[in-house]
Amino acid sequence: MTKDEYSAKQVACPVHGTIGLSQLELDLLETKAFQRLRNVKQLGLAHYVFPGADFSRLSHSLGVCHITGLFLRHLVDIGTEIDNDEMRHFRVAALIHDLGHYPFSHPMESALEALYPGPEVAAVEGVGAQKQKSKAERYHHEDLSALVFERDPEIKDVLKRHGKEVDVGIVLRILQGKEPSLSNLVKSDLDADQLDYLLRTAIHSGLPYGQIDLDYLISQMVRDKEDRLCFLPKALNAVDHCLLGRYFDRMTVAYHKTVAGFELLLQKVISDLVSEGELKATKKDIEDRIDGGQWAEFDDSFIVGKMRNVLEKKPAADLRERIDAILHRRPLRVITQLEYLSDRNDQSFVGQEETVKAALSRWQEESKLSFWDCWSKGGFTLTSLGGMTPITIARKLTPQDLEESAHILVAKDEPARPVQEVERSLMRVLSQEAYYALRVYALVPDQSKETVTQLRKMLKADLKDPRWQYLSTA
Amino acid sequence: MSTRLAALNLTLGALGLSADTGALEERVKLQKAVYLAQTAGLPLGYRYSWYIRGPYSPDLTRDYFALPSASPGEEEGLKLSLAAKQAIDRVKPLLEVPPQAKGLKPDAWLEIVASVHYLKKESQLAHEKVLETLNRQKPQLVQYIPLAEEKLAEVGLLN
Repeated sequence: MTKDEYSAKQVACPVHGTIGLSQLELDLLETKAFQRLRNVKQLGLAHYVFPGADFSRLSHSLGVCHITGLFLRHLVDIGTEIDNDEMRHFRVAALIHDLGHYPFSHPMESALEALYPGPEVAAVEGVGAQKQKSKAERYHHEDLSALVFERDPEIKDVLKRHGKEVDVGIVLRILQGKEPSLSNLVKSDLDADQLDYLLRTAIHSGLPYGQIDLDYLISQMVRDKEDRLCFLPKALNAVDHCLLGRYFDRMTVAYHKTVAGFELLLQKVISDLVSEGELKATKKDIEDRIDGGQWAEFDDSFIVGKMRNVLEKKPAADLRERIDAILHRRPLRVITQLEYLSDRNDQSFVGQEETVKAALSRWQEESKLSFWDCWSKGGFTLTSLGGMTPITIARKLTPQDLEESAHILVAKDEPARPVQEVERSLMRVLSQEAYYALRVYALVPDQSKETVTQLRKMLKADLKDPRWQYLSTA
Repeated sequence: MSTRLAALNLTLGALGLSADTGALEERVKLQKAVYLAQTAGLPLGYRYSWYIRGPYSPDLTRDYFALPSASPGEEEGLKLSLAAKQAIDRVKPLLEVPPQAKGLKPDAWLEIVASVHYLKKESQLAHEKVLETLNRQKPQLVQYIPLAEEKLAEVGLLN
């Protein structure tokens, strides 16, 4: 690595201090497709509750690029062979990893998942398949990042200008986890993406949970005999702390009752915009946008603009109510919730979830309200493929499934072990536990306590399990 | 049951794979067999990344564990499309451990076959780099690389 390569531009960052960029990175940063990320908020509507948590995917992307550089520089310092080209490609992959995030990120992706089928419809025939095939397919945001990087006209120009410095194929393979060397640098419990997310959320939200010890973690990073990035045993507490921090971060920010409610509502409104013909986001629509140089305008404010367009057309009252609630911050009300920590194999949750889902449309009809929905977390645990995995899966994890976990190099000549299998790790105990939550939300236009009290009475008749809680409307 | 789960269920049946996901060997076989079928043209859409034990899809893991508790809905009457059947038939010969690898367990055989294919076609590594990677990450299987290449070439998945 040449010392000067990453000092073409210095960018001030509230999380990392100063971030140095190469000319190639700077030129990518200045494309419209990249600048678009300035208007895509990392945390969706979390700033409706935590006003400072409105940072963009642009600042996060710079942070991930910076942390990736720190990881690699450390590995070079301890004797790992990483040349300038590898460093450059890993950093660029980190920089562009979020290029394909939809406006408002996950709520929009969830809405599209419900609206458009995946590629699997082409594998089957039959009545149901015909119905599905009549609809167009969608892009997953990870594939979309690759597509934008490959096809955006301005990015193509930058890459052409930098010629042999960068090989698009290598960047894409790193981005998609296809590079066998240092593969868990890109996808694991403690990858650069996760670490920047935690630190940035902590600083911007004002909540301390993601304040991890990044410098120490990096200083304890090594590569095991199987080529896996892992941590020396001395870092066990820092790793445990990091995973605990992630748990508290999720509980406090993403799973906050008001934030989660707004995201459910936003998902519904985006689905409404597609139904109304205001929004088009099939694979073909997205490809046309990219090829036509219009990807850059497809950001959070684009969706807000579409909502305003619909309002101008004097839509049905229920749709107007939903859009108004998003635009003017009218939170959904939690009518009831079930929330507990239990063994990761808890099976009682599934029955409760099915009961609620079966009753939702009846509650909506009887209440005559414009929106009801159920938010569900069926077993959120502290360790990966644990963390993102339903309870029915988590109990049967094997070494292959645990590759995404943080690993500790317990013995120098052996492969590193997943942190939850290390004797004295906190995760060994805590990863057996899981957080379960079901919340029933309704949009109560007048926000009145009386209405909420009536709704609770209605639900109490259906949900007999004593664990259901009926909170105050505050 | 979603269309994706229905398509997976039909695929596993056509591949002759056990739905007994409690057995580790069966799950390794399932991961690698679905990978190979996708490379032959089965459009299930699972994204595979490189893990120490070869190509692996966390999304597929989630789906095959969801299968037993998924109740058939309107997807009950679905069947595999002709293109899907052809892709599956093409990779079926790879699922059998060849006589030259006698003694090698089926999951280990599929691990080396899928790994060789992935490193060459997805990671686009030169042959020497494939050898270097597999020597480091799965030395016990390196001796079967030529046989895996031969069998992949026989079904047209490797030139």
